[in-house]
Amino acid sequence: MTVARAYLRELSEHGFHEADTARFTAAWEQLEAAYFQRIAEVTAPFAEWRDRFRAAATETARLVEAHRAEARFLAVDALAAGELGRKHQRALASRIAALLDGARAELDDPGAVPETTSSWIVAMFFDRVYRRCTVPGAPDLPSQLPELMFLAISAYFGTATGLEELIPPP
Amino acid sequence: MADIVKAAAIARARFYENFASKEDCFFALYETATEATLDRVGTACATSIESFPERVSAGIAALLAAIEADRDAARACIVEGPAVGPPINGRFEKVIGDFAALLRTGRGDAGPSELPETVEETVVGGLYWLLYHALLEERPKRIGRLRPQLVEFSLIPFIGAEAAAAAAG
Repeated sequence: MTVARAYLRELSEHGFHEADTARFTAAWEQLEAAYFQRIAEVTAPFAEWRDRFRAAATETARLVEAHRAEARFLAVDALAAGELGRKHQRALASRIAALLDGARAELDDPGAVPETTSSWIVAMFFDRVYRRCTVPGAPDLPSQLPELMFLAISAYFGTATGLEELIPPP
Repeated sequence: MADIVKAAAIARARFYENFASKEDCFFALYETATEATLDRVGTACATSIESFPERVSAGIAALLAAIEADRDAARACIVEGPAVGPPINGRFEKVIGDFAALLRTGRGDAGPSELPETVEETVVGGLYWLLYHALLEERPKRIGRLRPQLVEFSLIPFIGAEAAAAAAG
């Protein structure tokens, strides 16, 4: 993570330059690998999609709050790198969406929900991360989790199931 | 700057009579285009249409038509906007807030009473980034084909998945 952190510090001070392409890519790949490794760890104990998703979403929210510079790089500063940043963001979003779409396997009719459902969920989460990083006073990610979980689970399993996510744990 | 004045067929001095900088010019485009689109969507889903699902469907159709009508402006606002950096943040937040307010006004009492207050912002934010990725793909027919899915996603929290799918047609 040292390479990524050093580059992020430099990027925040001086902005992106074309000559930084290799360092940008190295930093991105390091962060992305670390993120997916962490997600694999926190979801491993669970068998059902809903529990795995909740664990992944909770850990993602925690990481965004605990590692603000890294979250900002992935969600916001990458956009200033033009096509390079967009390419990486697109690939990351597609990878997460493919994992999320595992929910279909637990549906009676896997074709019953739109094909872009997982992309929709990724888009809503990304929007919350983006705004957390750009809007002063935006709500922290953990406080948004029940709403995001409600919207995500409703999209696959219906609103009645999704509403269970809004009930505070005892 | 040379490319801008050449494309607009105006002298550089004339450009600076109207805009302080390239950034100023971009924000003028951003604000004009987003306000015109908001008006267009607001008109389309005006309360003269009886049901909330129909209003959402009409609003999204109008939004996609506005994007199709001027794809360059849409790409500039939706794709290039967030790349501008901190000066765009307040404007971006306003766009999300304005469209969310439209959705909130339109839905009236639709939806479970326990829905979080910010659910409309989250829905509109999701729509925004789906359109962002669709515009990046540069496949012209893709935007129009998104309509049923965008309608369904927008309605699910308020009227349930089954009714949303039926309304999306």
